[in-house]
Amino acid sequence: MAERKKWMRWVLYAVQLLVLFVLQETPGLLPFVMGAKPMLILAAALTIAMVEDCVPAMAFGIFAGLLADFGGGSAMGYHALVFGVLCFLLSGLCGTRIQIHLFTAILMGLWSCAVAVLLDWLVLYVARGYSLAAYALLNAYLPIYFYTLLMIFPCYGLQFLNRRFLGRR
Amino acid sequence: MEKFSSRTFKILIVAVVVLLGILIYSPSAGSSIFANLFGTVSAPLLTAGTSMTEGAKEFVDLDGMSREDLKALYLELSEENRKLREQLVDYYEMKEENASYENILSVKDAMPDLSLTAASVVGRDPGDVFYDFTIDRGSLSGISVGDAVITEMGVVGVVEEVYATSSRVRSILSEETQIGAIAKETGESGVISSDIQFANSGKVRLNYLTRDTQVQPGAIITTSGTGGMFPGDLLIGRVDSVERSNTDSSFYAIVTPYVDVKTVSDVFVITDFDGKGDVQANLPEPSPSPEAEDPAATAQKGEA
Repeated sequence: MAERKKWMRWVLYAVQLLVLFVLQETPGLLPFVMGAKPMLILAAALTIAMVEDCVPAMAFGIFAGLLADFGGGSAMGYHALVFGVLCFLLSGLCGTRIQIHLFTAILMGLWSCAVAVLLDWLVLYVARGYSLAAYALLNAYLPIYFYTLLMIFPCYGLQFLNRRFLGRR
Repeated sequence: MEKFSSRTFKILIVAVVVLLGILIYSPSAGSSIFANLFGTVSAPLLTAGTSMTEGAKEFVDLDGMSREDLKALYLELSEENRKLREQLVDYYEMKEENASYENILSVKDAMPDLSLTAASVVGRDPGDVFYDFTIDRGSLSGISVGDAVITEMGVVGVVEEVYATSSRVRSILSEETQIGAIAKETGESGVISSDIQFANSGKVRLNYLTRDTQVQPGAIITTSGTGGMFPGDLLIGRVDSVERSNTDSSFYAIVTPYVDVKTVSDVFVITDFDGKGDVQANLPEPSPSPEAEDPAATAQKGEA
């Protein structure tokens, strides 16, 4: 029974990531705020990592990252690597040192989301030699960060429901 | 609870090594098998998502009608629908198709030498600060890297990556996009480019104008045809103002593109045209610019 619930939970995570990927990529669906749209699959992958074990958390992080790589046109594997490692570390922290609930989920989201967005800025903007890096950070990446952070709430709610009905932590 | 353990760390290391391998392999292999695989799976999903959104938008756009109005309208339409159902089976589909063909025809009439492929925008990544996007046509539709992307209103961008059934388009607002351009009234040439600041405000700049430039606000900017990537005389935008460059003695014009790249939904990809790949095709007389870089040369070098 526990094994079946685990698999059902994982299937739901995969479906959730696919649906959120379609939502975040669909033109005209999510409103622009200060020229930014939220990275829904990042928020979802991070909240999944908060409630799952290290290895499945990493696997879903990699899956979300591959989707992000395809959608964003970055080198295949870059986001998969970042999201995978980030989700692994986040899951390890939440499983051993931090009891996860809404407040700690937001705290964890604050730094993990910041790491992902800062790395995006460094690797996909600064390292490519684009000009006005500080301007880009403040006016393009910071709005993306805050908008994504806002999405931690509904995503955590989804994982909370998932956890309530299908068990885990 | 599975904690940090040597086993989980071993799995992490293996995953990191595999992903690093993919990361290193992908750029060297161009549109790699991984990207193609993901593209093949996700492109139909994105297309379906876009179609559903368009449908939902039409559904909720009721123009503030009252409940009574809506009820009356509903009854009226139900009756009409009953009578005409058989005739209307394919009506909307055909109408949409017809509009699409009219668009293609108008563009093709205006530019008969162009081979065009119509495509829809199906993906916009939130992490992309230059508003690049994904279209629902790929190599199977004859699209290749470097093809110009336009609408009937003007230039939109350049195809950057091609998968089997989808392609990634680098927008005209991207810092990497440079297009040889010309001011139609005065014949002055330059290079259209952008940066994050211009991209945020949806504008581009026409660089390398001389200090005695005759370009005025309101002037129409088109492609010059240099570089062999864009045919000449495609509309780009209208000049807002002319400013002095901070880095040299040249001037630049701030240009508002005719196409709003942030919201564009239907585009055409120019898969072929007379002079494609010919660097010198339609090369205009460059404006004399002793201190600034030669725009024609820059266009040849940078139009990509």
